Amino acid sequence: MDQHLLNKLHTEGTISDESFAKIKQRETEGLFSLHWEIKTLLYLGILALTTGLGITIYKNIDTIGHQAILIFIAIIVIACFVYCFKHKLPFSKSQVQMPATFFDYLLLLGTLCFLIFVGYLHFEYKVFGDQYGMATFIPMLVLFYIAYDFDHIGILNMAIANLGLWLGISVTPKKLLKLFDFDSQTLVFTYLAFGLLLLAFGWATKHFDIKKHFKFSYQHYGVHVSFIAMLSGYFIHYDNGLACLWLIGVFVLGYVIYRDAMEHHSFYFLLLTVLYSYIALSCLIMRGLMSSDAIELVMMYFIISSVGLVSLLIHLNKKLKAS
Amino acid sequence: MIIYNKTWLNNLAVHHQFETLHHAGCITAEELKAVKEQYPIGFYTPGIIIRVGMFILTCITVLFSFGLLSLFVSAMHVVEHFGWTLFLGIVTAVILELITKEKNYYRAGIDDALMWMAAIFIAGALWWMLEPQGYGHGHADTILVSLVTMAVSLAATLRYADMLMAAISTLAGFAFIFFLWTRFGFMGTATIPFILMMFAGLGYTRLLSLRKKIPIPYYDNCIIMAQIVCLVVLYAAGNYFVTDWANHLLNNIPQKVKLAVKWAPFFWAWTMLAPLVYIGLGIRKKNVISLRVGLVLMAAGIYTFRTYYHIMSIELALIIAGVALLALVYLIVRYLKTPKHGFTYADIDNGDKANNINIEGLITVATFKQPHTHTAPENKFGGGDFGGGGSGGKF
Repeated sequence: MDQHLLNKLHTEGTISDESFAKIKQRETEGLFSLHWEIKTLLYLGILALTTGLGITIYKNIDTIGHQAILIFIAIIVIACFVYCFKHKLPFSKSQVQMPATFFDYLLLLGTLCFLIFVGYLHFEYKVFGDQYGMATFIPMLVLFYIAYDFDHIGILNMAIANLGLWLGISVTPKKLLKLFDFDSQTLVFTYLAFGLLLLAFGWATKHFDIKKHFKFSYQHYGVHVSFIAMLSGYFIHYDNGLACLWLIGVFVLGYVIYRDAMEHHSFYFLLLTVLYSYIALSCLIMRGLMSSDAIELVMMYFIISSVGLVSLLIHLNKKLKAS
Repeated sequence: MIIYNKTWLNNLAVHHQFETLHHAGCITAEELKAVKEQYPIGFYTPGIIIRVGMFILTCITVLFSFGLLSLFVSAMHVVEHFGWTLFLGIVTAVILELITKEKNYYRAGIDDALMWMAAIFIAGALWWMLEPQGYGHGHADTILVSLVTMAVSLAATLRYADMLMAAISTLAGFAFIFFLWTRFGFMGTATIPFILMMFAGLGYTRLLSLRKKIPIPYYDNCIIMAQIVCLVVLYAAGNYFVTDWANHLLNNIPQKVKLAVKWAPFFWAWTMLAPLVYIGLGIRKKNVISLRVGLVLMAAGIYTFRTYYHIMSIELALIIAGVALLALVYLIVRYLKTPKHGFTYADIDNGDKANNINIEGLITVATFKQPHTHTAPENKFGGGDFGGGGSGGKF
């Protein structure tokens, strides 16, 4: 810290007496934080221990027996959740802080072990029978519940991934998987529906003011899945002239996301919508240029368009900052 | 030397200092704003996300422009000559100079992309020039290649103060020493670990004093990167696995053949003890770099040991390591329940996220030596987690 500068700012009145005292206090304390190191060691310790136990269980599965393993995992899950429920702060529609520094680690450990428990139970005893949908649906509900009740964004992301898994499995039944007969069109529509559903969730999160800070996660997955679904829809039906309708879908969604990003000052979604729309536009223009067989024109297009895009980004960035 | 406006760079350092103070909860948002207004910056620096986007787009522009230019001149057969690549690199560098000065770009993505393109094209052209017949004619070419790499990346570091360029430059410097020294026949290959250690140790201490001496932090991050590279090279030069591997390589012996490493006890001691020395020095001198590099290298040391000696199964090693780490964390957290010897486990640079342990709380604790109510749950957690680990081991 530059003492000369600090004193100057203090005498000029930019820094108040109270803040100046706080800064001085901080400097005389001269505390050296080991926070990052301890967190890393803790994470590595949990990772090493769980991996080691996992391998041990796997190697000795014949002698230990499934029940013993299941009971052991269940004990971890119960221990973690007993602690978490005991110390959790009451549910609130806004953001809730974790009650203790390493609380979220324990919650994550409990949740992961719960997933392992369900998976193991199903694999070994076929509790859900052939109902693969149920085997993913129940963990999904639990994950969403934990994410909302404990306010844990990491677990929300897991819940969203599980939702996709559940939808994917429900739409392409086991029989189709066995025959390797993927119905691409159905898959594209499913993913598009999934993406739009997530976007709707994101919107509702904000609109009804329930855990507003969850919006980013929903929108992040929603934007990627929807755009990729529409672009793959275009390539699947490439030979059909009507495929361009998919690209129009990209532009419409792009505009909606653009408005939203501008409203909420999100550089990330602004960049995503610009890049995905650019890909769609390039697909359209390439379609025209490919038939004329002129490599120079293709190169010219990329040079001009990328320069244009850079200036567009600079312009949008300025606009976003100004608003 | 440096291309950027020095007043703005100084102001940027002021901003960073006061941002840290704001995060730690020492100054209010209004005060931070006032400081920032008093020390303005004219750079164009977008956020990291826009920077990444600009980087990608600039790469596309440059590559397609070069492709198009090469297509136009391909009839003249200049594309096959290294001079064409050199020409393109110099053109990029000139554009970079002009655009950075004109538009005041600073870490804007455009300047990053142009800098990397220019450096890669120029260095690539020079390598091509040095080895027209292809790679692998004696050691002379590797010496020159590392020298060229060092020169180009050093020039970029000095002009644009880029961290990654600084790291590459330092590494290329060590490569140069390595290739030069190992040319001296048997004497060279036998002594190379010690020579590298000497230069790395010397480099690290020089950089330490350099960072203290220079009051203006233009190159602060570059020096930190160079320090990290020096510490890693200093360790790697004496690491048993690396010396064994280099020994095979330099004597042209396949890696499968077992070869006795001279001074083996020394190298083993170095492999296992040097990281501990790093950690010890890091804690003593309160140096984050040495401490963190030491932690990472300790893992490397243990891994090296395991590749040569299989004294226990991997799962047992993992369980013991896991329990030991959790026990260590528990002990540290318990020991530092109230900050001692200037150490704390709370996240003091991030007042908002420190989970109720604010700086005032810490100060109160330090002054009155009373148990702090907020820290109690953490401590309990540490115990609970360790207990879980212990029961797991018994199981």
